[in-house]
Amino acid sequence: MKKNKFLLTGIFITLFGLSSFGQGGGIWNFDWDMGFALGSTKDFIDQPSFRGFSIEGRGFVTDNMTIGGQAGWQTFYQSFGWVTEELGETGKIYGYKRRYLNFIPIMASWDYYFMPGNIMPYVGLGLGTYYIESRNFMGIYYLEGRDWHFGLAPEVGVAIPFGSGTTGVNINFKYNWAAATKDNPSYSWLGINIGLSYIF
Amino acid sequence: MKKWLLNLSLVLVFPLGIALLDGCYPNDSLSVSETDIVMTAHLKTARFDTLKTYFMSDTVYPVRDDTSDHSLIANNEIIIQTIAENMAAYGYERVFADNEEAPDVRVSAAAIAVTTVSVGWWYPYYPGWGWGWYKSSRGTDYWYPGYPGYYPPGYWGGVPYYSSYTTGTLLIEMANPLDYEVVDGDTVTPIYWAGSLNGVLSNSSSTDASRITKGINKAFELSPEINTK
Repeated sequence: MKKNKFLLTGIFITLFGLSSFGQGGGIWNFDWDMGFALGSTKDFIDQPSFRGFSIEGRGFVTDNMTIGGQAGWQTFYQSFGWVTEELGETGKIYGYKRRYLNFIPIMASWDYYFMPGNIMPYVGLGLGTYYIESRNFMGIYYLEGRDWHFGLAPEVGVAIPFGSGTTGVNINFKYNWAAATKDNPSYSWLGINIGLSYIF
Repeated sequence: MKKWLLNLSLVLVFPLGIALLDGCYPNDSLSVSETDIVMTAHLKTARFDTLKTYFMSDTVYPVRDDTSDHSLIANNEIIIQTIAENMAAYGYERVFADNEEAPDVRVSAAAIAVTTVSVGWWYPYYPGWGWGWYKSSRGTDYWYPGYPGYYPPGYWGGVPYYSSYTTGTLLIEMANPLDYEVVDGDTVTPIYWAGSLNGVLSNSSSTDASRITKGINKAFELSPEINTK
């Protein structure tokens, strides 16, 4: 019985949320994300990433402003081939070296849409967390870092509806910044994201 | 208009699909030899240029879960032979158990085939590891029970390389049992040099043979410090 109550409350909140979304209108974005490492992240992997996507829901709270949430995934990868590295005082290790970075952003977002006409340019800011898993492989052995990082993601973008329809192309540039944690460094990369916007 | 939209959707969905299929670790299907690792380290204070002779058993000691299994590992001969060739190339003379004088150092090889490989795999301490395992077949000159090999701190860097895989590790160690010290109440012999390679105990002994030869050669190549010439 208690379980049912939780379930019903959950459904109610979800429906309520959706209906309030519906009243003010909103936007769903489905994007393919490309990543270009910056700063010290680039020292770890300097190859760009073309493996990423994100889904974002935004609801209009005023005529121009939206608040919403987004989740995504970006994978960086680089192979260094066979390398010898120093290890400890006199140690050396020789192996097939690859590095991986997996980012999973989960963020609340605020955006401001300029509505000069049909096209909808916008600026915004994401605030939330990045789950980041880094792996530095030698052969099948690896050093791993995994942590939840505090994150900020300012962005500029534009949604271009097809004709007068409710569907359009979404393009945005997003600077992703994940703060350092106790055990893991700060990460940053530029995201260039292209996808579809569904405006309702 | 609608067709155009459909095409665009496909263009977007396609890379997404690839990304999903590829998973978090793309291009991680390595060939067998690409999984190989060679590690070496030497003792900073060891005077390799003063060493001339060494003793090495003809047996690669197998470290197995089943401790009653004393059978030789598949590439026993190739391992011993390749180590001997590399030692000779670095100016060491191999002596045997019937030699009049004790050798300057001992070289031993162990193949670790235990299935529990976990965090700290490279951290160089195996419980029960000791020189007593390398009993000479002839005399007792080279039999030093209870003198475990000792790696000074910082030897490997204590790097927590780890993995969920199980592989065979070949560990080659050089030490002089007469050069011992007491660490935390235990009498131990510092390891002058150690080389290790993994992936040497797969099911294919013919593939292993070439990997072993390459790996051992690489270990010596990484360690010009132990060259006496």
